[in-house]
Amino acid sequence: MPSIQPVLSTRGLSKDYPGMRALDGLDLDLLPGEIHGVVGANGAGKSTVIRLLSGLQEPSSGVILIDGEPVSISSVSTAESLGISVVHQELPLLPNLTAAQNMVVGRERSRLLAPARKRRDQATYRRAAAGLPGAPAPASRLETHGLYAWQMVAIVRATADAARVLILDEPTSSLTVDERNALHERVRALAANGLSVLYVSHFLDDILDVASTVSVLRDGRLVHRGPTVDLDEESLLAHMTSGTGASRAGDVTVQPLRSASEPSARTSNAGGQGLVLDDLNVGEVVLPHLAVRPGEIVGLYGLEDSGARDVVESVFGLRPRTGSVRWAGHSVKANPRDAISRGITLVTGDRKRAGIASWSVEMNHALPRLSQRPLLAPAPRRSMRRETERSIQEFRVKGRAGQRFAGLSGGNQQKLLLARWIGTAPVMCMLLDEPTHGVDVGGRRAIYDQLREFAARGNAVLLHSTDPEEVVELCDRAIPFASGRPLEEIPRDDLDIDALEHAVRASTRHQSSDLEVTP
Amino acid sequence: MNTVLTRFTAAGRFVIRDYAVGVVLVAVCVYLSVRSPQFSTAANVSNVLDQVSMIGIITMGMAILLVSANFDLSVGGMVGLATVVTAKVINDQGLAVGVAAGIGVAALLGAINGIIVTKLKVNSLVATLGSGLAYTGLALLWSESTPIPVTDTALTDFMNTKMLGVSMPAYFFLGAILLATWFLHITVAGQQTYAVGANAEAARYAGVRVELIRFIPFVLTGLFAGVASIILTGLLGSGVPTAASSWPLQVVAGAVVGGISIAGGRGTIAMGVLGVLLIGIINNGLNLLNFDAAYQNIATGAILVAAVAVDSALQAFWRNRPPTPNGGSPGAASELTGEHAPSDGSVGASAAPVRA
Repeated sequence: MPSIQPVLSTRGLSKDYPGMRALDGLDLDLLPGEIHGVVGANGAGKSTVIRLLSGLQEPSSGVILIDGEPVSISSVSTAESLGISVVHQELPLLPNLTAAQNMVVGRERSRLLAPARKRRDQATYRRAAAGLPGAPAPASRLETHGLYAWQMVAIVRATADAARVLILDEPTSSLTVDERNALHERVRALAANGLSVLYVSHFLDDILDVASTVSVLRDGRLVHRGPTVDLDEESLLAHMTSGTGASRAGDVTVQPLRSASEPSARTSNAGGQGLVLDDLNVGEVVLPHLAVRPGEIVGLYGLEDSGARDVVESVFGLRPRTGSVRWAGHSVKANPRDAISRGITLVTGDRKRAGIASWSVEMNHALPRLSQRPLLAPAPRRSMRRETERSIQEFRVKGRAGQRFAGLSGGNQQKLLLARWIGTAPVMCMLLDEPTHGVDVGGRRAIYDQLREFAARGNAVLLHSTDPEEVVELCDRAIPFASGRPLEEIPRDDLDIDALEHAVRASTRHQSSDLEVTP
Repeated sequence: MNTVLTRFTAAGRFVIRDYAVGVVLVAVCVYLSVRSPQFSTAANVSNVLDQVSMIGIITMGMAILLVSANFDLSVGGMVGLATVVTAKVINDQGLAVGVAAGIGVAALLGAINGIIVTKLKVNSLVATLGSGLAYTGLALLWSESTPIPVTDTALTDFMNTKMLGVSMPAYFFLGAILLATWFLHITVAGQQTYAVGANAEAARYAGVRVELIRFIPFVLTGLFAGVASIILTGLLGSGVPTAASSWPLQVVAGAVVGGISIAGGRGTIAMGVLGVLLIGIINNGLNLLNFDAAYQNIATGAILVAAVAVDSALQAFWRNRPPTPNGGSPGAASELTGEHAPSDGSVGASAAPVRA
């Protein structure tokens, strides 16, 4: 027994699903004021831990103890009354309500017909959000804010009541480095006040940055626990994937990272001049010129709302635009169907928007091909199955063609949404919008490898990402974006995380000083 | 052995989860044949088919429309106007032109609904509530609010003809079932209809022409309503502008009782057929057992609510038993987003049900 009484402990915590054990005998101790990291590949059991501790599901066996007393967490409200709050990765907030309303909604203790106490709630919110950089104003509606603000509101909501344990589920997956640092600062401050934090992530650098202790899960089992000071990313990754786990998981293919570009090997005449954008206007966003040659991966890097996403979405035709978009010498109309018929596709990391959760893996895989066929032709069921199985093999998707899409882990969903486009046209231009959002490190590497190979075969790739690491890792050159304008292009030789962040920061600082000058 | 067992339970789950109404239908039939000696006579079966055929034909269109996540409350007005047009044109131009005009007008009215919904972006419930009122008004205006007798009795004679002991409307119903099954369960367009109904944005990402796919079911519903109008005109021997005013709710009730989701993306043609048959047979049974006609309304209403309640309970039951190991949060995701997780088996019911 540790000398300090843990706030939250589990003993032999297990969860069985038909045909598999998702969590196998987890022993965990969370001390007061501790930031405890939990890492693991997709499917290692992290989300099961969260579901069991937050009352979304009940364990098959084992116990959960609060202050040493066994408790049964049968619902979310039980968890909350025990002082356990969760910030879910999907941030289930209501965009049509204000920040303060989101903090209290569903937790109002007063009777239903009592008047809503907006002013009191806003004051509470203001107090709880004090010191949270970038938290939206209490009376502003969430739909007007970006993901970081949502994250802040979720944290305010989770900590506004007398929470003793805060569970963070992949809290940084949509944040920039600066935002991440601000978030970590806040988490440390909360921990210093005695809050215990369970920080669940697959971003190893985040865990090493903020957690004092880390538990590593693999295939539902605890495989390592120890202080983070003894670890670095390589040793942590080794714990996550070592032994037979990697090959069995199929999800994690750890290879030494290949150098991002061998441009000399990438020249091809198919695809003509590639993707050429001229005088592109999308709402407030302006892009005078951009060309992506076949075989090239070009990155647009920017923070949320930098305008880079608008460019990518407008090329695919999801947003109205003016200006010219040409691919392989042909002009492309502003609708997804025309784009697709010419070989331009968009793969977004927002898998809820791109995949149909209730459908089978096979049907999700087939949909782009179906959309190109004559409407009254019979749906080609046999070839649909065959093509899906080929993609599953090629991209090492852990899953079956007949399975529900929602049952795949995030990384595997993403691989499938990428794989389904490959081969729909002889030469393609693939647009990527945060393609590895919420995908674990092994899955990311596998996706990067596939994309490099795809580009090397003479296809063009235009990437939008808010993750500078991803841009550096993948791109031959990058154009930073800020405030709806492209900044100076960064060639391969100068492309690193510092260069990208510096460019964007320099431009936003410039902007804000402009603002200060104007009365 | 184990796989046989798994398959058996999977099939059982499939039947109970998606076709519970079929089980109820069989039970009702058994009960009625015991209670009433007339129930299983050929005359009564033919009678039931006559009664359900017209509603059933339109339900086939509504089923496709509901899968695409839209709605049509204007079918009553549509049939009213089409039957008036049919009667007038037959009297003026002859039978063939009249029949073509009736079906054509209904399809056109369906297309108008489709344009209002897809181009003017009016919610389909509101759009068709409005257009239905307007169609009824036109029918009353044009008929001067009185039935228009058809002078040529050929259509009436034809609709009353029996083939193998079954009258003509039932064959049209069968034709509508086959056409709708072909469209929804075999063609590419059918799969795209499910996609648009389940997640229109994902369909758009995949290159589906979302507006076109939303438009087609409106035209099909109009087309089926047109066929029903011809049958109605024949059976009544005249064009009656308000004869179909209660149909929209009956049609929707049939589809929903069968298990088709009004949220879109879930349901099959077979469900629509079973739903219509169940309501028709229960009404017939009440008739045979000498209940007042008013009980039919009460029964239909009660079945409608009960069917949806049972369906919700069954869906929740299976949603809370995660059949999907490995990461995905079967219960959690839908609870968090409030998203109704529809059944995967609805996609291509003609294919073997594939379960995770």
